[in-house]
Amino acid sequence: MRVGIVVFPGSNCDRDMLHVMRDVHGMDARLHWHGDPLPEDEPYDAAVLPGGFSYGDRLRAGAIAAHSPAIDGVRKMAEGGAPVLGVCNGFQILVEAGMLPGALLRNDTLRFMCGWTSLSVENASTPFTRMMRRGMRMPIPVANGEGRYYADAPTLCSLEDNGQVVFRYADGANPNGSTAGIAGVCNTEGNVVGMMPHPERAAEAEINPIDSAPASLLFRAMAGEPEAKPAAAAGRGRSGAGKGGSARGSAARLR
Amino acid sequence: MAGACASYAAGSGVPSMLPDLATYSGVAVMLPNRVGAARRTLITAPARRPGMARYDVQAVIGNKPGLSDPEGSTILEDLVLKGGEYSGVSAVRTAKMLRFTVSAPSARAAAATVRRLCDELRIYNPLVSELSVTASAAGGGGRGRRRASN
Repeated sequence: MRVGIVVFPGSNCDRDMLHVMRDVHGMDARLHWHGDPLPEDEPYDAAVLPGGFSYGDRLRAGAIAAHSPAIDGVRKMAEGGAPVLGVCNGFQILVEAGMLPGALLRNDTLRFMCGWTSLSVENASTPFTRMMRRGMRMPIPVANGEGRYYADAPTLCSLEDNGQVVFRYADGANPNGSTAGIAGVCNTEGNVVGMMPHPERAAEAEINPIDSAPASLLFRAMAGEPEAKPAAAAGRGRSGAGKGGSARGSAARLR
Repeated sequence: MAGACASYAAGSGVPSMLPDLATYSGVAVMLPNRVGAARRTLITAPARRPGMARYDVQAVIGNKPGLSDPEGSTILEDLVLKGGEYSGVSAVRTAKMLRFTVSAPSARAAAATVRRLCDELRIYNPLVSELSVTASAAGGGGRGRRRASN
């Protein structure tokens, strides 16, 4: 899996993402400056837009970065069915670029927030969630100032009917006032996913005091691990184990 | 950067917010320094042409009615209404205002230019925001000042 992590002026989670994808999960991931067109000779298999504050969140979070040259290539990749993931500011950029529905507004608290939350997996059939199970919980950090997901009523109905809600804040959490507790959505085809919380900060046991296995499933899926992983082998090494055990076992513990 | 020309050359890494120099020529806009300074190349000041005048165009971007505005609510409930003398005030809605300086043949044309660039460059998000545009003669304000809304 050759992955391009698009770096914008103001990105600050790009190296965390690179570390998890390359060092932990063995993917051929590399940083890609947003001003350069995507390579045509050796095209990326997937693209990731990391978190941060591109262009200082001027105008609106993600509004200026959405016009970057690399986004044209990312859009073409998405139209061709390639997996595209946007995390936090990357999610905001995908929304501003029109690749995902809805909008991300200023938090209802009017404050930047940073803390741990719990997600419920609502769609386990995207390229990023295919190793998860619907309803499983994922402990994960979330940090944003403009993270309140908003969709008007018709859009919300469409999202729910089409299974485009991928993650929802769980167990009573909704740290920014998002509509219907939505923390992540996908396009109608399912290959473009955006999420506000940070899986790259949750996928190693060293930095996840609760359980790193659920977030690791996202990267393991990207790395091409088969879906029907035997439970005993699912949590090997640094990448998937968290506090040990398989994805199935983790899901059970988190419920 | 007030008064600077916003006809920018596309340099390395420049988001093409103003992709067609001819399309929005004559428009000057205050852009954030950090966005602008490192990435744009100033070409020239707006040309003064016969029949053209400079207009001050204000684009106000506010939340659509019905969309929650926690900042406006806080200003209303915790400042205005606690002020004691303003009980007649029933709502406060916050908005963002951008001020453009535009060379155009009329205030109406200046407003139309800004309306178009706001739509095409997604200066506002039509899903959640609404836009009002007002133009008046730049540097004016006195008698004979022409205004146009779009």
